[in-house]
Amino acid sequence: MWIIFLMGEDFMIKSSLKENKITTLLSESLEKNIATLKDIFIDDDTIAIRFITNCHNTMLKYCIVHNDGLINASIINENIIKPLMLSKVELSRGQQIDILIHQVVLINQVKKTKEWQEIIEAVTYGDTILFIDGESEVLILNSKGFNIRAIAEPDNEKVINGPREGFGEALMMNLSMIRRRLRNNELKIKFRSFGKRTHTQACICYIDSIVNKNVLEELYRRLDTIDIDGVLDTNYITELIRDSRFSPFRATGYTERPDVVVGKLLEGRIILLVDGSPVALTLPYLFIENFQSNEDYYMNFYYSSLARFLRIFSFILSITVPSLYIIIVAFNQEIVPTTLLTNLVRERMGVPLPAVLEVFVMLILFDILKEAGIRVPSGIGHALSLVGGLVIGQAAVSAKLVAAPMIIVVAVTAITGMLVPRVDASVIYLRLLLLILSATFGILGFISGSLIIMTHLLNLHSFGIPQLTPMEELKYQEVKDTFVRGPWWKMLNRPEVLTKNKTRLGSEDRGDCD
Amino acid sequence: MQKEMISMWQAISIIVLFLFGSTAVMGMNSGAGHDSWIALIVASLFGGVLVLVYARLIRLLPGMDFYDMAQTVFGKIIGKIIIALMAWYAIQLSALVLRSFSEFIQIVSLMETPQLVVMVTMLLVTGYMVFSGIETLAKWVMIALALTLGIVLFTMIISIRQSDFSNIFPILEHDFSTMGKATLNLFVFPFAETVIFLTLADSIKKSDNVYKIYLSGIFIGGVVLLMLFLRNVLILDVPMQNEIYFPSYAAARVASIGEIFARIEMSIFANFVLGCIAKLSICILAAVKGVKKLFGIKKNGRTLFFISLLILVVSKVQFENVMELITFSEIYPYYAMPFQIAIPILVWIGAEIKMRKKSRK
Repeated sequence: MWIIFLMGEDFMIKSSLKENKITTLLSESLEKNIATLKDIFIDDDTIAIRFITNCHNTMLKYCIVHNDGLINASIINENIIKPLMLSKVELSRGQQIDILIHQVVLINQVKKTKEWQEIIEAVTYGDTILFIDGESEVLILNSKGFNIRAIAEPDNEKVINGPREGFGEALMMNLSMIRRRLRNNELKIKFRSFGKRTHTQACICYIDSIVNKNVLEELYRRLDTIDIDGVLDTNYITELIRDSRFSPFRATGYTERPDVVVGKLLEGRIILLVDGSPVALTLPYLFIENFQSNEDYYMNFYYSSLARFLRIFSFILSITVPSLYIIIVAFNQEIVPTTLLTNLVRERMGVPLPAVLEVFVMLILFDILKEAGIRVPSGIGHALSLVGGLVIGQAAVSAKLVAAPMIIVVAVTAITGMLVPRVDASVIYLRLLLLILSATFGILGFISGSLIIMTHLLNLHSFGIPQLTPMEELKYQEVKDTFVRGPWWKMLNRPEVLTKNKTRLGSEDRGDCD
Repeated sequence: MQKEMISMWQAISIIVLFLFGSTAVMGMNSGAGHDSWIALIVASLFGGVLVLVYARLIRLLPGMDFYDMAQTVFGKIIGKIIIALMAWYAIQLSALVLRSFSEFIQIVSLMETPQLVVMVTMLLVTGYMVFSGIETLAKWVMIALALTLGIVLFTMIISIRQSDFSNIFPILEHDFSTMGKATLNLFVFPFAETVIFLTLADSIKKSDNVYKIYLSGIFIGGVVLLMLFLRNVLILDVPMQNEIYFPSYAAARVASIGEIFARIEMSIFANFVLGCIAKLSICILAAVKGVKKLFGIKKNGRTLFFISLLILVVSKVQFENVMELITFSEIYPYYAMPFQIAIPILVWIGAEIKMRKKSRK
């Protein structure tokens, strides 16, 4: 349903723009206007046109236009057609538009316009256009009513504790979820539209007194430069406005959960929502956010801190384990205890490939398996796990194609990589870079590679803010929410790099501690 | 663009890592045997005095690097000569560090890999780091310092069982001239090499206390070097230590606890690589800055590229083999002193006179 809606819109505007820039103005003649409209929406059968005449005064002629499938028919029948037909209000041809708004149509949002472009955008978004004979203006009446997915918990951000609501595809519904959680007048919500052809609605939210004004300005500046024909998901915008465009790491965050969005807003971040996508964009993005999860804040801080630490540790492991294995096997055997070394050597005996090639082959096989797991229809997923686990794992070892420790290395790499899904793509590249360097230069290559990665991370900025927090001096308020998740009564300040308005907690709550 | 600034602790970390960057592995073959640690303490005291001059210079002309200072004090022509000399020193020092580094790598790890390949790899890494600017470099140095200090402590702790505390006796068995020479060696390499930091002085915030930065840098670096030296002597004993080119590496090879923590020389290796890259990139940064000032070049990337090439050539051509490198290290003190002591003191005196004149007006 939703996809059809989007495609239809795209098609319509394409056909109308192809012809002309629509310079003709609205005329006072109803017939002329409808003829122009038909011309604009030529070859589009979803446009419904209906003429109406008032039954008390047949001089009053109207015409309503809407796009079938995007509207709520009962609104149009009851609140537009019925009052227009039956209205007993004194109306005269040519001077009735304001009276219609005030006394006749029963619609919550009404807008006057003279622009064809605006009419096109309104019709394709489910509004009804009211053409009035004798007026050179039309009314845009809100009659939207399309089917949307119900609110559900997002699949990729499931939690055990905490709110389960997730964003949907309809912008206004998403905004309502944010607004419900932030009931004050400081939440600013600004609309914009992107895409020369899709005219996708987007909105920028921030809390006025907390947000960093420089970041906001920079965001607007970058958004102004966007000149793209279609925006179907938030990622279109992400890639257009991000810093250091060639970096494999994210420069903006994403989430599908309103509670996360509100949390980010309260830390001084800016949210960008795009109609048609359940994914909200959050910026600026700190590197540590890769390892944060909303659940950290809903659970005991001891447990959350451990989880946070495990995630960071896994990130490091996932990048380094294959190259460390290569270093141990091929360069510095001496650091392995003797018993382990003999086991390693025994396992590797009779294996045809050198360890480096083995790692390469197995890692790439794993990535193939993973991609297949995502793309495959769920019905045959079972076969995939059978092939992956049994054939590539066990059978390869017993056939002496790969050494058994290799399977463990790949498994550890894979599992640790899954702990931090937000840096998934970058981890694959960094892993390969380190692997190549370590295979060539041993530990020297490993350290050089890590240095390059480290320098790259330190170079990363998000909207002018360094992604790895400036580590000038380690203050508790700076690290409270990074390697550990400090208890709420200790999180006195907001992250310093994000905002100047620091105080989050009035004062340390000594109520029930001590 | 906003000027790149570093914080006080970052500046201190740069000095500390600079101090024991290459010393950590090259060891301190000062020639004084048991008494090297006394020579080290005396040398760090002298180093402390020398850096007072450097700090005073920065205090007199705040917000400037050494190249700018020379030009403001002595005018354009002499200033340019000083810039050329200091830039050359930076290039030469980088070449020296790079060469000793690649020799080390060849001896302990990659016997069959050509040194040129190792050098080019190193220069690519340092090139990227220098290109990223001093802010990134300083942040990175703090992380590297934490890592290296951690490794030093770790090796010290696990080598306690192998340590023989009687190794430091007898104390003061050498005569005065040997001690003097040892002190001079240690003073020039590494303490007085902190003159390179003067060329980065424009990145220090004006509100920060330069004396504190320099002195605590020297102090922390001196303590770490002392610990390193004691560790090596306690594990290896002196005759052994003097025989080996890379005593730290050998010491870590011996240290062990049980089966698991054995043969941890890889960690010393890592330490050395970290320290060398830090020292190398700071020197290259200084050289790039100097050459840019000297010829009035604006393009950072290209200058960096050609300086790196120059360093590669110099370090390759300078010495035929490792023996020449070691022979050179004997005359190095007399070669380096003009750059480390004479030129800064000259600029300092000039600056004092200039400032007096200015304040009189």
